[in-house]
Amino acid sequence: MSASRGSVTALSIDAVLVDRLRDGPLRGQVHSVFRRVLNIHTYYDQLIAVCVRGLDDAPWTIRADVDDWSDCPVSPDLPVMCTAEGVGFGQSRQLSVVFGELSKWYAKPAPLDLSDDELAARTRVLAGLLDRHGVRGGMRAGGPLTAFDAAVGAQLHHGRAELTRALLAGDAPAVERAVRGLLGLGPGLTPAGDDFLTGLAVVVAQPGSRNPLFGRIARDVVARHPGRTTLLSRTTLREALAGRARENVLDLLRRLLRPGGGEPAQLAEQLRGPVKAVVGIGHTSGTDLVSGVLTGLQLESEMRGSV
Amino acid sequence: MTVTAVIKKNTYFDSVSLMSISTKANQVDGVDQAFVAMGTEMNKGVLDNLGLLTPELAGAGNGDLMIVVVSDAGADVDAALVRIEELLVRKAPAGGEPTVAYRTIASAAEANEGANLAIIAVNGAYAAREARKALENDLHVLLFSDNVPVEDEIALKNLAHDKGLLMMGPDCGTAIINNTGLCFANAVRPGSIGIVAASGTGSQEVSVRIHALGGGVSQLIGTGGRDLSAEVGGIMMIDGIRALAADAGTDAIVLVSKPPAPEVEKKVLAEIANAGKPVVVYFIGGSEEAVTAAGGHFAATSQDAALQAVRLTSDPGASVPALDAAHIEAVRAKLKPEQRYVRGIFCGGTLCDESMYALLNTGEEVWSNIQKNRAFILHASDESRGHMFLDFGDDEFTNGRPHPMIDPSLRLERLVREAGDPSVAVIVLDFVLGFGAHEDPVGVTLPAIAEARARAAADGRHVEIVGYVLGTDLDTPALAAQVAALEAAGVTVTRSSTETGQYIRAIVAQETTS
Repeated sequence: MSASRGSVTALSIDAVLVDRLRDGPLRGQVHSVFRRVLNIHTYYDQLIAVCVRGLDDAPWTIRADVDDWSDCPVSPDLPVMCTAEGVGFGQSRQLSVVFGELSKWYAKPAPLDLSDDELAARTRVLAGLLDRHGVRGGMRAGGPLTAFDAAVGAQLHHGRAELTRALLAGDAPAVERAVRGLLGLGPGLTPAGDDFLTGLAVVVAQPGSRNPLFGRIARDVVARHPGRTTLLSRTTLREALAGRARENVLDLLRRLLRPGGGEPAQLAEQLRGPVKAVVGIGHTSGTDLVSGVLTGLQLESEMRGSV
Repeated sequence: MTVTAVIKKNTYFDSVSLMSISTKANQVDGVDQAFVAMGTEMNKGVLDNLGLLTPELAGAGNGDLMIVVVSDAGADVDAALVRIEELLVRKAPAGGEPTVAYRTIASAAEANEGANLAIIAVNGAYAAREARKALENDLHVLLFSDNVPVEDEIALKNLAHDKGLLMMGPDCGTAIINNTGLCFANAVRPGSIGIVAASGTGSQEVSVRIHALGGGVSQLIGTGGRDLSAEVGGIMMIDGIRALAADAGTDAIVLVSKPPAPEVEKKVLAEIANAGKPVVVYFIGGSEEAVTAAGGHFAATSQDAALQAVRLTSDPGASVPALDAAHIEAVRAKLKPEQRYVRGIFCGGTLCDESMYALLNTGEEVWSNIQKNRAFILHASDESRGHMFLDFGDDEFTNGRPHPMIDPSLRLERLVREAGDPSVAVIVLDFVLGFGAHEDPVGVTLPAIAEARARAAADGRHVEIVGYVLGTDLDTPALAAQVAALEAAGVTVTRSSTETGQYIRAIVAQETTS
């Protein structure tokens, strides 16, 4: 089913958004329209996504009972009103997303409760999966198309190395420089540098992380330099720093860090699907996210002294 | 090697589409390399390191799409760009009402029989080319785009003049043609007053005042803000006066502008004698003597301009109410001696200007980002001081953000901050209704107004918040509902831009002389 003029039913919604709407309506405008996502920019600089049923839940997201938005009568800048009852697009409500018996989505944490050796072993499993299933481009070097791609790739590589070094050394000014150097770097709507930082942020925001420095500095950089990246990317990173990310990312992390789980080969087999689900996000975005998660776990292991 | 850049404002593609566009763009004939990327600081830094950062690219915002084409010497860059534009159109996200897209101005004109006006809002680098095509197809033009070289503006206006067409703009955001509002305009009653204006919110204000006084507008012709400069020489304003002079539906003409170049003012005023109709002249800070000598009706304020035009056409007894002296007295009584200053936080440039001039004319020192006196210029990042009037629609504030009429967040923050300053007596806000503006500008501001008042009250102070709503009862949302919401929130609502200046001057005069 596609969304033509009329109303569609919401299937699930971020519980945080439900709480916010209880305080009063949010007004805004359509920010961007994609086949699978309508983005709404509220007048309080918050981005709300209304996605199709085939996508996963995520922070500030409503999943609607629709296959795609291709035929929906919505275009950028159209006024939008979000209330506790639903979302109305346009002054004549040419499209409504109605909240009925919808389920609430919570960003369930993935505690870093594993032993040091176990954490190191799981990290190696993820590295192997990324190597096999990750796409080239973004944080992963490979066949740059143009001088611009090559220059971005080199800066991404350098930025990751600098950030890792600075975090291990506890060098706060260098961490800040490295975060600023990655923020907004890359051609896409969520630049590769941001996707990497988002993956890293999700890990260090989990209970049991021993890497508080990154979260503190990254939150500060994003707050002080909101103009350095796109609105979508800024919103995603801000949420990740609070441990909230797309369900596919959190699901991967929870499965990876779940106590037990068997031998590495067995675990790799179990994680193949979840890794591919994340890697399938965007062009290189998913791979860059997993790269960030991997770096976050490597740092946790390093900081525990077991690698 | 030639580097050509195109910026697509607030344009978003998912990363898969971007990658596909980038790959195909690199295969276009004549293209050595093509990059498509969002205009973030880091991406611009990469282009700078590669020696490819043009001034235009440097101005791209993080929500803008940058297209950079490096082409071989002698390559047909225009053809390559057309091909890349096609890739973008093909990949453009779905959505919106059914629309018909035309590849050229000529095909659009041909398919829409009877169309005689083109509104052009494309990147400044291509705006002149498109406007020329429209004029060559015998279409009047409203050119919304800015950043058009002045040489192009002069050439376009001369071409339009020779063909008997209107060339409104560049940087023209307001017009009302045959009762249809174009771009930012208000719903006003049709009538017999014609307006020619070089100022957007200034012309909106005059049109809504005419409506409020019972008059109506025949045509509102925008000229673009640079028309009365020495370089352009008022070509469009003079053509506009002549067009309205020849228009049987127009009985009186109002001219609106910020201060023109002296030699241009003289040229424009010389047209008054040939108009054959009364002409009211509202040039902010203009000379009454010069206007009167030319046979025009001098207006010192926007309200005065509307009032004179209505008296000349439909209602000789039209009047505006006087300030409410008792209310002013009551407000003054609530203020502490140290509360001396006015802080104006505006969306509309001309509204800001008019209120600011009301204080400047009393000899007060006034700080502003649009001050003509450079000694009193205040930038967006500067701390507030003294009497201060900020135009949040100015480039400095809108860089990388939507206009405050659309995105009021910066203004809301500033409102609350000013209320915390114990030296502040009055905070002034404007709200612009109408086509193209925010759907509920007052509603979105009410929480910040409540917070500002609470902040001052917590320190035992009353801060006088003054609001002016530019709009009519025919606008959506309607004027009355917006005014009622402000009054319910304890805001003093003024009835015109002119009265706003008079009111704040009365409050501050009391505070400085008592």
